[in-house]
Amino acid sequence: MNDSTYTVFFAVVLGTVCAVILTAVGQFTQPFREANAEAEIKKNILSVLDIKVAEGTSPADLIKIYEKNVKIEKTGATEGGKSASKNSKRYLRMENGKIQTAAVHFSGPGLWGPVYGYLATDGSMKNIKGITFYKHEETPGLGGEIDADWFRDQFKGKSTRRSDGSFGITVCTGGKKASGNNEVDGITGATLTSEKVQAMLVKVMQTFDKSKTSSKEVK
Amino acid sequence: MSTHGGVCCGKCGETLIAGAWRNNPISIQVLGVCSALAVTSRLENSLVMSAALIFVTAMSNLIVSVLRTSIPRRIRMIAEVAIIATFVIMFDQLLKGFYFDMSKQLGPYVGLIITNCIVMGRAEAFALQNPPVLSIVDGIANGIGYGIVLTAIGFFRELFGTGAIPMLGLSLPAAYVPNQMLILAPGAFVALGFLVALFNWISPKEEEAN
Repeated sequence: MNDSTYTVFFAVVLGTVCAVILTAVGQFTQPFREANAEAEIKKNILSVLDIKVAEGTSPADLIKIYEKNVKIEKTGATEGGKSASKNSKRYLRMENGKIQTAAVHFSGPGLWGPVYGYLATDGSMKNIKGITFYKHEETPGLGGEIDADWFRDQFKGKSTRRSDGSFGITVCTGGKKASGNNEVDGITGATLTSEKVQAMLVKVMQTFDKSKTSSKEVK
Repeated sequence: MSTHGGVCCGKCGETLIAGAWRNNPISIQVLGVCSALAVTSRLENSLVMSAALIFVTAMSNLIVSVLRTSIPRRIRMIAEVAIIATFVIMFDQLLKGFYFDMSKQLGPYVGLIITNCIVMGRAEAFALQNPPVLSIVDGIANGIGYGIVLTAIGFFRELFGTGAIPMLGLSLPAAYVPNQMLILAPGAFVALGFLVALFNWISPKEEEAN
């Protein structure tokens, strides 16, 4: 075998062996990876609905808890005039046949990239019951603090309406301390992230307010 | 510090100390700095990243060493990258499957081990010239050397940047105001700078021959 033929032969064999190994590993981990990804979404919804899940619950158990406790409602929510098909669902936690907590998905631009999360309110969207951010690229330690407990816990019990009756919540920035039941403290050193979070929350509240009248079915 | 006549091949001890300390990939050779800066905002991240590098460097060194006489010289670097990439992706997939939270934290940096100069450097500089067992030792040693630095930076940054390390149950007095700069990228440079200075102070480099 001459030099060039051997080089090609070696490359083909090495490439094939590597590909086979990676395919095997990929196949083996696929069910676990998929379960993790699905459980991650459900974990966030459970967490924002304040349904307690023990630390270290397996993905399969988590999905069971989710299916037992969470009902999905389709609403006619619109985003910018178009039907928000993907984000028009409300995730409901029922108690004695009444909506106890309702969570909606929200997203919007952060400082470095998109921010995704869930906002939970009572059934009639008067008060906020919880908030989670499940994906963002904000600066760790600064804007990244949006997913820290101290920041998220502030939202609990706050009103969704400003004093003029419009939907919205104020994330205070520029050294201003939060006062009143419609304000939360912003993050020091992350004014832009704070402002952007405020904007996306106001947007999602308005989106679902319009759709409230056209609520369709509870599955 | 030569330990001739050891159990494996006479040079294991020497190789281990060289990789982990005397010729430390980060503090002496200044390789792999990108990931040392990127993932060290928390101690736990540093540890997992170090484990990944130990695994990848050891395994790729082993395979490169086994194949060292059959790899055609012209494509040897491509072959090395293919081998390294295989192990990195393997580790990444396992992390995604079984340690999902950590995989989220480390994000793209596990995949970027493929381009980590330490792994490639060891394959080129060591595994191509040395037998398999010694190459594994060298891979582990350099992984440990990387790990020591990452762990130290992670410890320093998390402790002084956030005021506590929940993983170790450690926290500074409440009077301490966390220095947020340490969590950010510039803080990583500062921490690394101090650490390299410390390492050089503990074991000074030999005077460069003139």
